Parts: sequence; structure tokens; C-alpha cells
Amino acid sequence: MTFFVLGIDAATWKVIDSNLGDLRYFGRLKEVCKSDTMVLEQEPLSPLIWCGMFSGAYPSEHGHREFVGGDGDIVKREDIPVDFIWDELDNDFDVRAINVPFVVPTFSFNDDFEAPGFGLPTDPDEWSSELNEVTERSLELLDKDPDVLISVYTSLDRVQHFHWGSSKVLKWYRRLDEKLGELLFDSGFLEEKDNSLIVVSDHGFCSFGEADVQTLPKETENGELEGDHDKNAILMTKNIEFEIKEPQDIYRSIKNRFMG
Amino acid sequence: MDKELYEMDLDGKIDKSLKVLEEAKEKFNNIGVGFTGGKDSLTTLDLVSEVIDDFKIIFVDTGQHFDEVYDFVEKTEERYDAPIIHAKNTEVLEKANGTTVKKQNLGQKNQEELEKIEWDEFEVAEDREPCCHLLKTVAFQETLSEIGIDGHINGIRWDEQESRRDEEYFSSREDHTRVHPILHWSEDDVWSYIKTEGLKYNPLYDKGYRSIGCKPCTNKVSEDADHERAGRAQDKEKVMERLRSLGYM
Repeated sequence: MTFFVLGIDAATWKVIDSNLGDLRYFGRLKEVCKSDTMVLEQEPLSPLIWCGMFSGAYPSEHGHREFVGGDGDIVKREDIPVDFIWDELDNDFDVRAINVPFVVPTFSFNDDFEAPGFGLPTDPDEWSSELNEVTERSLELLDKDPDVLISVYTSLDRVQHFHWGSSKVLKWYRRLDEKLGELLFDSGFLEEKDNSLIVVSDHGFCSFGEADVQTLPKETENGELEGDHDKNAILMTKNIEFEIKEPQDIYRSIKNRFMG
Repeated sequence: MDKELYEMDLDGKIDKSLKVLEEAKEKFNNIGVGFTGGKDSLTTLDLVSEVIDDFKIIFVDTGQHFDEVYDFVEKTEERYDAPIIHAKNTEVLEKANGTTVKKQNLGQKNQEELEKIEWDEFEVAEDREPCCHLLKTVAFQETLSEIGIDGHINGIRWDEQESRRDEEYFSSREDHTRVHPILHWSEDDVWSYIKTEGLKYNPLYDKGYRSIGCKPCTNKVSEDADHERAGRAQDKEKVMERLRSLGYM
């Protein structure tokens, strides 16, 4: 029995729902899971949201908003003054996490996963490597029947930063869709009645200028960004009794299952 | 490099490749297909099998390949039901045996080849030039001449490296002609074809390798890019660069 949280950084219903014909496994997931939009009231910033999602703490408590702190240094796990779900469960349960992008390089727990491009993949080779390596390692870990597994793909966010509005975005959703097939369907994970699944993104995406809160600059050293984060994150759940309304509820749902 | 051909859609590219192979079928009597265990030669082989009935597969066996490559070569032989000929410089591999290979310990042919490139001794898997020359080039040429191949088909592409941008579909050598049916394909085209056709490809690609060669000289993509791990000063700067390019700073 494994409680699997599969994060997909920046996945948005805008692309998924309008391309279900191309995204076979997203479509199948929608059939077997309850699906919803998690509308963020917190700023749609990856470090802030992923941190709250797995610590249960609000931004005012964990104080982590950006990958780089005010002193110009990259924020590390030990700089964040809260416990995460893996810290709380580790003594009594087998908890694994790979490629969790609340810090960079991305964070892994009870595993030595090394993320392509430090968890900030910026070109097609690295996007491809990340999709392959996260899938492969997650499958290896699922084989060990951990109590909790948390795995995150970050490639879509990076693709959307550069290519929002172009056909490349759908191409990479298709690539991810194939990986979802391998990871959740071909592996038999969803056939096990006792397994639980949450598929979640930390925010959605939209054209630059359309977001309620602008989180990215228009100009970067590599040219203009085409897209920006928006507040509508995807959420799909199977065998999860806890009602998830905000990122912190992911932490609560795991804690509720294992610690009551 | 013909830009128009390079920018065609994949169906157009496949048509062009099949025409090149039809022409090769007409021109040559004894056709060999180079197979490395990689994606490009797999695609080429699959296209060849659609057009040509009688061909030999030639695998340059340096003795230094990954186990996955040898397994994949074996499976490919079964799949295409064509004999795979291992082009191997047995003498060099026997003399090497973990030690330095010295010119005076080799036979006349290998001695002459080392003299051509001005090496007297070398370490297999360490000294690339003599290693590649004897274990790849010489092994391949000897095999081609032994079995009398007049048309050798392989999977090079214009966009792989600068030196290939001027290649043509048919390129004459002293005793055979090289045929390059997928010159105008990109890496993405090759992967699209493999996926669309449902071809079983070398599992090393799913382990992070982008280009597959001999084991000592092949690194994972992630290792090429990030061989130093985070925490060190240069890695911090790499992370910062990535954050800036993504707009996070």
C-alpha cells in the first residue's frame, strides 16, 4: 500500500483539457480519479507552494518565497525553519521523495536522485532526461512498496517559461503523458486497490500579462518569456478521503492517513 | 546541407530516404548496413528492411561496448532476421589485455596503421586516436573488404556535427560507396520515427545517454552537463545562470 504524490510543476488544465485526444493517460487519469482545480490564494511561486504543500506551513510560518534569499545566496533546505512530512514520518514509515523543487538543486529524501540540470532543466535534452530519470527512479522506488512516495516532474514549467503559446508545449505534455502511462498504468499502480494517488501542480500557467499576480519578469538574459504562472493548479486524487482545497492540505492528507 | 530537405515534415523525409534506398538497391550487389546499437542506425536499418531484402548488418565490435549494446545487437539480429557481422580487430584486443599495446607486438597490418598515425604504443580506452583507428576504422575496413561490400549504408545526419554538413547521399570510397539515407533527419525526427513505428530501442537512452559509443568514452547527458555536483562554487554559478534564464531572478 503506497501513498503516492506525483507533482507536475506548472501543469495546467488549459492545455490538458483542450488536448485530451492527444493526452491519453491524462484522460484515463481523469476517468479513474476525482479531478479538480486547486485555486491558490497564496502567490503562485514554486518555492513557496511546494514548501507549504509538504510542510503544511503557511508562507508566514516557513518564510520561504524565492529560490535565492535576500542575501543573494541560494536557499537550502536547512535555511527553512519547518519540518516536512518526510521528517515527521521517517521514524515509523518508509518515506521517499525525489526531485521536490522547493529548493534548487531539487530536494530528495531517502534517495540519492540527482536531477538533470540541478532540477532546473533548460533545454530539450535535459527535459527529456528529467522525464526519463524521474519516471525510472519512481518505478524503482514503487517496486520497494514505500509507505509514501513523492516525485515531481519540473520540465513542463521550464518548457512553458520559454515556449508558452507554441506547439512545443503540447509536444512536451505528450512526452509527459507517455511517462504517466508507464508510471501509473503500465506499472499496475492504479490497479492495486489499496494504493492512493494525488497528482498535483503547484500553479497553472497563462500568457504573459494575463496572470492576476505577475511572478516572472518579461525580460530575461535569454530573451522574453512568453508565459507566467497563474493561480489555477491541477488536482487529481484516488483513494484520498481528505478534502484538498489548498497546498497545505496535501501535507494534511498524508499526515491524516499515517498519524491520524 | 540542403535546408529545404532538412525542414521537410517527417513523412516527406521518409519518402526521400526510401528513394535513396531504392537507388542503392539498384546500384549495388552486396549491401551492408552499419549498426551501432544507437537510434540513428536503428532507424536506418528499419528503413532499409522496408526496401531491400538481402543485406548484411555490420557491427563494429571494439570489445568496449556496454552490455546493453551487445544485448541489443543480438535482439536486433533476431528482429530483422539478417546476419550480423562483427567487425573486430581481434589481434589488438588480445594484445591489449589491460596493458599497453606496443607496435612491435602487432602484426604487419596493425603496425602499418599505427605508423600512419604516428603512434608507437597506446592504452586501449585511454588514447582515443589510436584506439579508435585500430578498433573501429581498421576493423571496419578489413571486414568490408573481406566480405566484398560495394554499398555500405549508414545513419549519419547533417546536423550531428559540422564535419558532416557537406556529406551527400552517395559518397564514393576506394572500393565501396557509402550511402546516407537519413542525412536530412534531425534527432527529433529519429525519435519520432522510433516512437511512431514502435521500435524497441537501446535501453541506455532511458538511462540518460544521448549518444551511444564505447563504454569508456560515453557519458550520460546529465553527467556531461553537470559532472560536478551542487555545493561547489562553480555549481552555484550554474544554478544562478539557470534561475536567471528561467526568470526566477
